[in-house]
Amino acid sequence: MSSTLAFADDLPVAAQETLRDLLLALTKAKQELGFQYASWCIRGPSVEANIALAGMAQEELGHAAVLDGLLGEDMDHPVAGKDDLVGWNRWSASSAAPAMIESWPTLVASCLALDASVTATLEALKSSTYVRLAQRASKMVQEEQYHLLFGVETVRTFADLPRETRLELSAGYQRALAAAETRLDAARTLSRLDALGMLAPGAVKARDRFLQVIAQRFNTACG
Amino acid sequence: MSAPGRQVFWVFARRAPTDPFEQVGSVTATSEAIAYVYARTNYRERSWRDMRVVPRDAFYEPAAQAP
Repeated sequence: MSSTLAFADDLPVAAQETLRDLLLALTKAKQELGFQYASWCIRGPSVEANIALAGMAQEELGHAAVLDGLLGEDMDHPVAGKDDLVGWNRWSASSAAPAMIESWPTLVASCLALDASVTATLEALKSSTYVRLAQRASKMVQEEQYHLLFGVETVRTFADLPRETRLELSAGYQRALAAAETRLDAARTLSRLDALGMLAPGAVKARDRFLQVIAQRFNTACG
Repeated sequence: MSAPGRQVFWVFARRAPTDPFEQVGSVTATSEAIAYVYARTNYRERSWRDMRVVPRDAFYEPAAQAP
């Protein structure tokens, strides 16, 4: 592992490009999570769930703004305006726009899968030699622990659903996770960063284990 | 009175390991685990170091006895 670097300018060009693509994908994923959580924060099963969703939406959009700021400050990527992050018309104008999820169990499973994929990636980036990113990743992972707990424990409340529905939910989680992994392309980009000496040894494998643990907890909760 | 399957949990928190726990509020939930998640996400106005949830029904008071 190479020594720590304070600024992205100090990174090799190949590493900068790889990081920029990854940060862009992470930012977009966090914007989507914020969008989905916010869309449900007056429709959840209880006022407590609604407050939790509102808080998680704020945190996701805050994380997106932090990552967007890094892209702008350190990588000369144009910083998005506030409306670019959450405006409904911006989302619907894009061909890859996420649709609002209309089913509560599907929302919980889908967001947990995307959140797990993003957080596992940030977990690996905590060891990045690019210090400004590593510091921000650590803070985000700390805040994300309750998002993942919210997802898993809410899934446990679906125990009364018919077995077929729970099986479909479990399959939906796997599909959403596969889609998130494809979209983030984190396994490839992190391996590349690892090869460039920008991650601690074992960070990529630790990410895989992180995802396995969340999937196991999901399946156990789903029953 | 809460909905069937849901119960009230009291939320206690402290900011330092040597502080006593203080009650900061309550949540209604179907299990201790989800109650804890709600507590952590609903009572974030301060950065609590430790947080606990306790079923309100576990707050024991002996039945009144005739003298």
